[in-house]
Amino acid sequence: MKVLVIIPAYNEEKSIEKVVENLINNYPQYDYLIVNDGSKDRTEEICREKNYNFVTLPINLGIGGGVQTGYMYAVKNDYDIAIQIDGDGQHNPEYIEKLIEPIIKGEADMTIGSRFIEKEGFQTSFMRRMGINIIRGVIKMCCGVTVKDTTSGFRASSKSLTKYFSENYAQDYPEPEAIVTSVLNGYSVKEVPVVMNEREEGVSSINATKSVYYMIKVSLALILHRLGYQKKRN
Amino acid sequence: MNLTLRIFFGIVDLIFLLVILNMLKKKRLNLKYTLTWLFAALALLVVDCFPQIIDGIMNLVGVASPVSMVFVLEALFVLVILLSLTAIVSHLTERVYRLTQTIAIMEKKIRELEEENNKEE
Repeated sequence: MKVLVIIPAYNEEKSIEKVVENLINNYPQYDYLIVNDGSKDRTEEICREKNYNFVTLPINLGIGGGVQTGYMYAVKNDYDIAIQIDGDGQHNPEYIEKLIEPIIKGEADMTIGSRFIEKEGFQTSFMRRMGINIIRGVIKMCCGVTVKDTTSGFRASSKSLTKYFSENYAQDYPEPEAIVTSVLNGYSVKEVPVVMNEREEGVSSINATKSVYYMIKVSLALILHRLGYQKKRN
Repeated sequence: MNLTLRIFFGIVDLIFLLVILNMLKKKRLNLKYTLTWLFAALALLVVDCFPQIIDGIMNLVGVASPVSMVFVLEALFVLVILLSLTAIVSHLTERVYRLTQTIAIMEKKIRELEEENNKEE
């Protein structure tokens, strides 16, 4: 089983080294790829100096385009499983084994590391939990699947789903949309309980003013996916 | 529509057409994306020459004055053109994403080949 850990990084100079060193030293069984998404800080220099395995996007595409680059790389290099973890140290690679287990067993095409199943560790703010709950409702409505941690960026995908993602992946706020497209296209999604850390450096990509825009856009995108799917079926 | 207004519209429309054609000639516009503009300008010219068309549409949709009808027509053309521009931009964005991603992966490959090359030498 060839496993690739994709680490999207945008301005993560303070945390990227820690995340990658942890992977290299403690989890050498997994390959990794840093996707430097046109960072303006020293992220790229650090990758070069340390001779990390990385690709660097000449312009900033955002998380969707960054992660998709990782999926393209995974397809090109024939990986069996592609995992996505954040470059800010929120996700503990300790859980990768649990995350890929259902995929290896063939029980699921996509697994999502969820912090809300056993409710341990960092649980994020009340407002964000509320937003996540609303998106959960919309996802349930659109494809009938209940996912607790809809915005979790700690996820793994099987070979065929990775291929699909390398060709179709939402660009702006891709996590909830990826769930719906996967389910609507016949892939199974499963959640795995994980414990997340609070980010140590940097800020979340979603601030207060953006959150309303985020909610509207994500909900609309999900509903559009659903409508588009019905059209194809008829 | 009175004659003065028709002459005014006609001149403005002709200047507009000439500007478009000139830009096309200098290759500052891509014909593919300019067809909607040309069509709009021509349609307005036709309406200007044959105001009976305006009277006909006016009665059909219930607009009171011919001048308003001309404005409504223009607004509709602008909407169509804007929408097609958004479609073009969306398409271009998608292509830029693909290019960027491909370049990034190729850059990695080149870097690796260079390293290998340096080792051999």
